[in-house]
Amino acid sequence: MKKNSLSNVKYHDFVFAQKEPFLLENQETLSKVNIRYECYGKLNAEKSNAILIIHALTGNHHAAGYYKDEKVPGWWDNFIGPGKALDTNKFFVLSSNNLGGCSGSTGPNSINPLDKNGEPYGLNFPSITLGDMVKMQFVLMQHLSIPCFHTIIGSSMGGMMALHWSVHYAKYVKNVIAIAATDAQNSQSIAFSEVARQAITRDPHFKEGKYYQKNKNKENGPKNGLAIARMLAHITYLSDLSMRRKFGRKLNKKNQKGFVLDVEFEIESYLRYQGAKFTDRFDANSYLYITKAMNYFNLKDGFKNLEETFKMSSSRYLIISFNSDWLYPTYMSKQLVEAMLNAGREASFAEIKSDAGHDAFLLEKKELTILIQSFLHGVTEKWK
Amino acid sequence: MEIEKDFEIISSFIKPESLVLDLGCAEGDLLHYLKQKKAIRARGIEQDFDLVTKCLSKGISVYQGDIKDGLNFYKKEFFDVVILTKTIQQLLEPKEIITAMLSIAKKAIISFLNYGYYRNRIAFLLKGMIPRNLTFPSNWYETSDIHPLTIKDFEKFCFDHRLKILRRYCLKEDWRTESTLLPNLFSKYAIYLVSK
Repeated sequence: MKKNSLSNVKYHDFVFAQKEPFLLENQETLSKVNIRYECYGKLNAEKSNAILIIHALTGNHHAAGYYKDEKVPGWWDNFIGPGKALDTNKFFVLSSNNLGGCSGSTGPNSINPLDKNGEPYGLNFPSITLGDMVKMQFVLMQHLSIPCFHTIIGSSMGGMMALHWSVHYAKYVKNVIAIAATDAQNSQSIAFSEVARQAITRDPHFKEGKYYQKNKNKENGPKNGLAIARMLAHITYLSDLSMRRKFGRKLNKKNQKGFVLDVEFEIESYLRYQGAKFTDRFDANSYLYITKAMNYFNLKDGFKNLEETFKMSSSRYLIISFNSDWLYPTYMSKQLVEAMLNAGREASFAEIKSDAGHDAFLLEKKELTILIQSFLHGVTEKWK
Repeated sequence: MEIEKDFEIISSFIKPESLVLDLGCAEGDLLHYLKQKKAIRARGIEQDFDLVTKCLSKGISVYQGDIKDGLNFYKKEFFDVVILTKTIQQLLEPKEIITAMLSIAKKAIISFLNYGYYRNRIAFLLKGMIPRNLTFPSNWYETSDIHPLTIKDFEKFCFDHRLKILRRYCLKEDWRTESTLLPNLFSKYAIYLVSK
C-alpha cells in the first residue's frame, strides 16, 4: 500500500425513486435506481467543504484509497488523500458511479424492476444523457444533506458533467475544475464512438444486448467487439509521441519480421492486452449508452451561444488542458474559458505540457497537483 | 520600494471596482494590490506555467497564454482598463498591441523605461555604445528590448495615432519622486493612462 493513501475504504449504496420514478431527459423514467458512492474525509459542521469528483467514461466510484485486502488503489488515488491535491484532512470528497455505468449504480446490466422474469435491462434501458447522470448526483447530494459543493472536479466526460452542473445547478456549485474537457464533442470524437459501437453491436455474441444470462461462464457476450472498441479508444487517449517513446516500431520476438498476421509489433500486443483486460471490468451495453450520451452532450443546448450559457453560472472555473491531447485538444479548453470570461465569469486556464495525450489527467501528478492546490487555496482563503 | 510606488501610481489611475486586465501579469502582485486598494475585478494573462499557479493561489483569474491571445478573444470595450507594464519595448508589434488594447478596453495603462534619460544619452555619446547599466543590464545581443523608446517617442506615437494622454507620471532617478522638469531628460520611468 502506498503511503498517504486511505485504507479500509468502503462503498455505499443508496436506492431512490422507490415511489416517484426518476424522470429522464427523454421523458422516460427509471424506478428503484441505485447509486453507488464513496466518500473520503469529513464533512465539516458548516457543510462547506464538500468536493464532488466525477469519473470519466469507464471510471467508477472507487476514486481513492484501498478496500480491505485490495492491491491497487482507486483510479485517482494520486490526487485524493491526506496532504494530496484534494486533501482529505480539509475536504470531504464524494465520488459516485455514474448512471448507466456497470460498477454498482443502475445501468443496462442491472435487474429491471419492471421485468416479470427479473432480467437485466439490456437494451430496454432508456437512452440517457450526461444531464441525467448529473441529476442523479444531485439526488445523492440532497440525500447526504450537502447544501452546496465547494468544488466539482472532473476530467474528460467528468469535466463535461462538472460544466453541466455549473450551468444547470448554479446555486449548488461554487467552483469547478474541468480537466481535458469540452462543451461538445467534435465530429472526430463522435466518429470514433460510432466505430466503437459498431464493433460491439456487430459482434455475433451481442444478441441485441441480451447476452447477460449466458454470460455466467464469462465466455459469452460481445467480448471481441468490446475489446476492439477499447483498443480504438485507447489509441485516442495516447499520443503519437507517447506511443513512439513507449513502443516505437519494436517487434516483440527477436526483432525480426515473422511474415505472419499474428501479433508482432509491441504496440499490437499492448493494445490486445488493454482490450482483453477491459472486457473483464466493463459492460458492452454500458459502453453503448454512455458513449452515445457523450455524443449528445452540448453545453450550449437551449442557449444562443456558449457565452450566454455561462451567464447562467455563478461558479469560478479552472480549465486545464494537455498539449498532446488530440481527443479534446487545447483549443476546446480555450474556447470554454474565452466564453466564460466574456460572460463575466471568474475563469482561469492552464495548459500542462505532457506527452501522455488525453490520458495525462491520470498521470501528470506534479503539475495537476500544484494547479489544483493553488486554485483551491485561492478560492478558499480570504484574499482581501 | 520602487514596486510599491509603481503600484501606487497605477492604482491612482484606476477607478474603484473597475474591470481590469493585466497583460503579462506575472505572479499577479499588481492585480492583487489593485484588488485590495480599489476592489477591482481582476483578470490576468501570463505565459509562464509556474507564474500562473502563483496567480491562482492568490485567487486571481488568469489565462495562460501569449499577450496576443488575450487581446484576440475579448469583446470590444469589455474592460475599463487594460494594463501593460514594462513590456511594450519587448513586443514584436507594439503598435498593433496598443491598438488592440484600446479596442477591448476604454483605457490603457502603459509603462516603460525611458531610454531618453540623460545618463543613457551621455553613455551613448561618450562611449558610442548602446548603454548598459542597472536599468538596461543586458548586452545588445541578449536584451529582449527590441523596441527601446523614450518619453518623447511615446508621446509622438500617441499624437500620430490620435490617442489621448489622460494621465502621465514620470519618475526621477530615485524611482519615487515625480519628474516634472524635462522628464524625457531626467526621468527613468514613465507611466501613462491613455484612451482613444
